[in-house]
Amino acid sequence: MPQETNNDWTPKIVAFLCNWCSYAGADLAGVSRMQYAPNVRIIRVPCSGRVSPMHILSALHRGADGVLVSGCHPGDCHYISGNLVARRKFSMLKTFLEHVGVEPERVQFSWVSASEGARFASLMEKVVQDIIRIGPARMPAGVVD
Amino acid sequence: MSVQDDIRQTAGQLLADGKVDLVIGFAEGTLAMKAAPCFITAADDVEQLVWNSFCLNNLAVYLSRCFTPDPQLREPPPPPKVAVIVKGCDGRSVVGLIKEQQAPRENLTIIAVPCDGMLDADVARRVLGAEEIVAADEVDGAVKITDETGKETTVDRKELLAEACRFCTHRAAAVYDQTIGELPADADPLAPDDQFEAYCQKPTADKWRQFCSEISKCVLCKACRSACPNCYCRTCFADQTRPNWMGSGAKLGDVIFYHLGRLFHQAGRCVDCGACVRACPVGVDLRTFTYKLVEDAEQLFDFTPGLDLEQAPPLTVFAPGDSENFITDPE
Ligand code: SF4
Ligand code: SF4
Repeated sequence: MPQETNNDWTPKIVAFLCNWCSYAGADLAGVSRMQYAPNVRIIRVPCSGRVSPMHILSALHRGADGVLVSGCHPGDCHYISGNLVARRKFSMLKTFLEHVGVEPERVQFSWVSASEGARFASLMEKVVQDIIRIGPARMPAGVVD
Repeated sequence: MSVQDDIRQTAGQLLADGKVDLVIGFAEGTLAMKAAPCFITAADDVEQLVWNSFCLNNLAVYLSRCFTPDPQLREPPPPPKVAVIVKGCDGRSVVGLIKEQQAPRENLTIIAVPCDGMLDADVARRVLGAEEIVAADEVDGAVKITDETGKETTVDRKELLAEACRFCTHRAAAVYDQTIGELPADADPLAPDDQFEAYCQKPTADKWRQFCSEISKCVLCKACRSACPNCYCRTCFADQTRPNWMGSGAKLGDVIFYHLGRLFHQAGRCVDCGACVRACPVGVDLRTFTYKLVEDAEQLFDFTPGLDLEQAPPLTVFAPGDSENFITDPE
């Protein structure tokens, strides 16, 4: 992704949303015509359990300013426990990234159900505001093909 | 009988009885203060085996290779029966490999030996300010070291301990078939880990600066990966072209990506053996980062790798009450 000059920098945020809840929540926000910041690129995944830490690292490596992963609320997973296994991975990844000096706001995790369009919109607002506050990613981009 | 003689006798017996096809242990190395891993397949060769304070490598790294069939062979031979001499850290790695199905338990003979902490030539060079260590001789905890100028210095072995050994708490394997000598009990680390604690106290921006400055030393030789028993993937993400996770390493971003990827793959698996740190030719301080994963696995999931064959690896399971405090709640 091209690097813009600092004054007209707007954050690029990659959101991994699970097919059954959070993607539908984003869809509901859209069809309900709720306003939220347009900085997000959504990637639909079958389940938050599908999201490998490598996907998150790769997004940062390829120039994302922020990453959001959202799945069904615990107990609501379409695959019963995909989000619960994901929760373990994400909690370790989050503390590990903080340990190497990645700001905690840079990578965020949340739960959004299919009926929570408003929650999705406010989540996106919050994430975008967080990223704007901390500024562009410090991670130097690698080779991008 | 000395531990070394006992190892030779045990290995000879196992090979002569046909109980194992291969014994993985240590032989005299070509450099001072470094024993070399060795592979004994005949009872006549057991005299090559040694046991001293320089047996640093994590021998578990060879196990997964023993059980990876050659893809060229149409009919792969039955998996070999392998005996491996293990210190505490090696033994814990072996347990991890068994659980990850890289080595069948029934084909392994795990021989646990006592370990007092191993001595590191790089530490000796630093302590003595020497260029090269040409000879070292240990008698009762005092090590007589000869440097490249021929000067002899006697140092207490505690000062020469490898970094990982200073902080080691599990000095003996928890899972084994045979033991040699008296296995030491779990112990407190010799010294508190001040360097790690100091790093953890730093603000995020300083951590990032230090992480990047360590990683920028890296020449991407991937020796850390080769030395680590947990890095057994036949095609590492770092070498994959489809998907092409990272470039060749011409950019710092790629090197950072390699390390974040490799490090995080150790989550809940790293036994803190220090093999990666010692393998690094340019002295990248990897332990400051791997140790975080060890600490978190313990704090978040009450899990210490390599102690129990029954306990599931922490990232393959879940508990209803797992921590949620990192979840963003927009309300
Ligand atoms: S990451 Fe390093 S310390 Fe951890 S198990 Fe692998 S080689 Fe040992
Ligand atoms: S061994 Fe050291 S130089 Fe080689 S890839 Fe690992 S950290 Fe980099």
